[in-house]
Order: sequence, then structure tokens, then C-alpha cells
Amino acid sequence: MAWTLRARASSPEETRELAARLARAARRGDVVILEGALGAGKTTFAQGFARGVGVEGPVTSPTFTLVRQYPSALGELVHVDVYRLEHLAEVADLGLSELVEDGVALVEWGDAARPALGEVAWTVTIARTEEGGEDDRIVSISGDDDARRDEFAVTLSAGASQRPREGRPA
Amino acid sequence: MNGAAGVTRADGGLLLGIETAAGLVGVALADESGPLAGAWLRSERRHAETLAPAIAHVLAQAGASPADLAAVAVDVGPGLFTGLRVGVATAQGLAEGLGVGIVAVTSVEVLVREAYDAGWAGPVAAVVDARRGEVFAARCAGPGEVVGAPWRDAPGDLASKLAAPGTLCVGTGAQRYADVLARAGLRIAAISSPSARALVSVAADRLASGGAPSAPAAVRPVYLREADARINWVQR
Repeated sequence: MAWTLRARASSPEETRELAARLARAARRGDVVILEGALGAGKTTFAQGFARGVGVEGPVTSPTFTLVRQYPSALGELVHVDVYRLEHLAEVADLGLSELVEDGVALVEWGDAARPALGEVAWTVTIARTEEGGEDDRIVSISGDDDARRDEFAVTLSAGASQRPREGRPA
Repeated sequence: MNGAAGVTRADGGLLLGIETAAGLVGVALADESGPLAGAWLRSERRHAETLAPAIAHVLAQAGASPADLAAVAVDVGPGLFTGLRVGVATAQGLAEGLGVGIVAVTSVEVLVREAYDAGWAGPVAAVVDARRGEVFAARCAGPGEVVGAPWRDAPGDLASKLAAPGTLCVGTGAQRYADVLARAGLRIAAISSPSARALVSVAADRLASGGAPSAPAAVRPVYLREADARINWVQR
């Protein structure tokens, strides 16, 4: 069954924290799609995810290099951006199947390129909120595998209990 | 530029074969008598660094220069893109610069050729590891028969489709999924990555039987991943 989980972030650092927590439920071989409008925070999410899987050093946008790779606790972290590509053959040319077999891929703008990506493990969609501030985001995680839904739910609730909500007595 | 004239100039010179579709970087030279020289290196990720020096080495060993090449043969897959794009781009650059044509050979044709050169006489299934739990496969009924069009499959489904008695499976996928294929009654050969030697043999036979080389710019890797479409950008 298809499932979706949602979480809120009110700053880029909170988006990174959320991504780092979700990274605990990631598995070797996962292809993850990152969706969201320009400036929504896809690369910010990738930075937090990278921190969560033990990447050291800066993680920068792959928009112009198409692919950046980082050694991580889950094998190679492959950070991809297909925004500049026009043809599915160009996506195939990235050789993602080979890179991901012993690693994890985060594919920015990947939804439109799904036919060339093979099996997608889960999708992250980052959206601005209608009523919220400039830095408020709703981060949705969706997938098809129920067992994984439960794992993501656990990582999300674990984070929420560590961080007391504003306006509630500690 | 004399590319169009070069395409017709396929006999009399040497044929260079470039093989990067799987885990090997391979280079071979052939003349009208057959394979003449070759070199290979097991290379998971270093195709770009190793291919051009290997070509220079093999040419030097044969006492030849690039100007002696009448055509360039290249494995266009299906296979691994890390290597394919290096092999195809190198073949295109070389052929374009020399004004000669390219003989595009598929990985499954090369693998089938290996099985028959090794003396096998029955049906062959070429099975290439596509990674992430998939394979590329093609069939050939016997020596001298046409190799069928390759398709993409899951190893378990492939086993049931190929389960004809006496079929020999070759290629990196046959090695990797040997258990699954053997359970379906298939035989597995110790032929893994396609070799440049078999590649030039296939290409030389094609030229000898009147097949014309392609213009370099027309050569494309075989994708088999629904890559023929433009990306349907709706919200970029």
C-alpha cells in the first residue's frame, strides 16, 4: 500500500536534522527521489541526510556536475540532480544502477525521470507552507512498502520526543 | 573531413576493437587473417584512464599506427554505463578523427561468439548483469544463427523463460545468478565479461559478409531501460 508521512521544519537546520534522522531508516541500495520547487530545500535535505549517514566534509548542489559521490556508512552516497537533463537516455547514461548497487542515491527532480531510475525506494517532497514563514517547510515521505513506513514513522517520532514543542511546559 | 569516404574504406586496413561493456577494459586488433594483438585489464571504475593507453599499447605491439585503422569496432551494450560511455565516446572520437566508420556490436553477440569459439554447439543464452537485481539477456539457437534482440529481466523470470534443455548461459549475469539458472536446468559456462578478441571477430565477420560500418555520430549505446523518451517535465 502506498503511504505518506509528514513532518514540519521551520528552518534549514531543522530540515537537515529531519533528514539526518530519516537517514537512519535508509538502506544500502535505496534510490530516493527528492522533489520540491526551486529553493524548497532539496540540497539542504541532502546535506542533512549525508550527515546522518556519516559523510564528512561539505555537500554541495550537483546541479551542474549532475552527480557527486561521497563515501558514507551506507556505501557510496550518490547525490544526483537531473534538472538540466532533457532525455531519459541522459539519465541512463549516469549509470545509477551501477553506482547505487553498493550505496544510496538521492535524486533531485527525479520524479519526471522515474522510467530510467529503476525501483525507487522512497520519495521526499519538500513544500513551503501556505500560512507559514519564509523558512517553514512540510516534508512528506512516501513509499509503497508498509514495513518501511513503520521504520520511518519510528525515526520521526523518536526525533519529535527529543525536541520539546514550543508552548508546552518542559 | 572525409568521414563518408572513410566508411567505404573497410578492407585492407586493421580493425580496432574496444570492449568496455562489463568489468573489463579490452582492446584488440584484427587484420584479414583474424585477431592480431590485444590487451585487457579488469577495471570496475577506471575505464576512462585505462582505455586510451591500452589502445596505444596494442597498436605499438602490432607495429601499427592509428592511420592503419580501416574501422573501429565497439561493444555498444547492453552493459554497464560507467564503461559503455567511455568505450563508445572513445570509438566515436577516434573514428571521427581518422575518417573511418564504426562497427557497432552488441555485448550479447560477443558473448555468444565466445561460447561458440570455445567449441560449444548448442543453444546459448547471453546473460549480462544489469545490477540492482536485473539482467540483460539474449538467445542464440546455435552456431551461425542470428543472436536475438536483448531484453531486460529479473533473474528468476529469465530462468523459467530459458528453461530449454541444453542451453548454455554465458556472461556476468550467468555467473552472478548461476544458482537460480542452474536450478532451472540451465548450464553455466565460465565466460564472464565479453572480450575484445571475440568483439573484433564478430566485427570482422560482419565486414567480410558485406556489412557496412556506421557513421560515428550515429552510434548509440543499447539502453533497454525505456530511455527512448524525452523527460516529461511538467513542473520544472
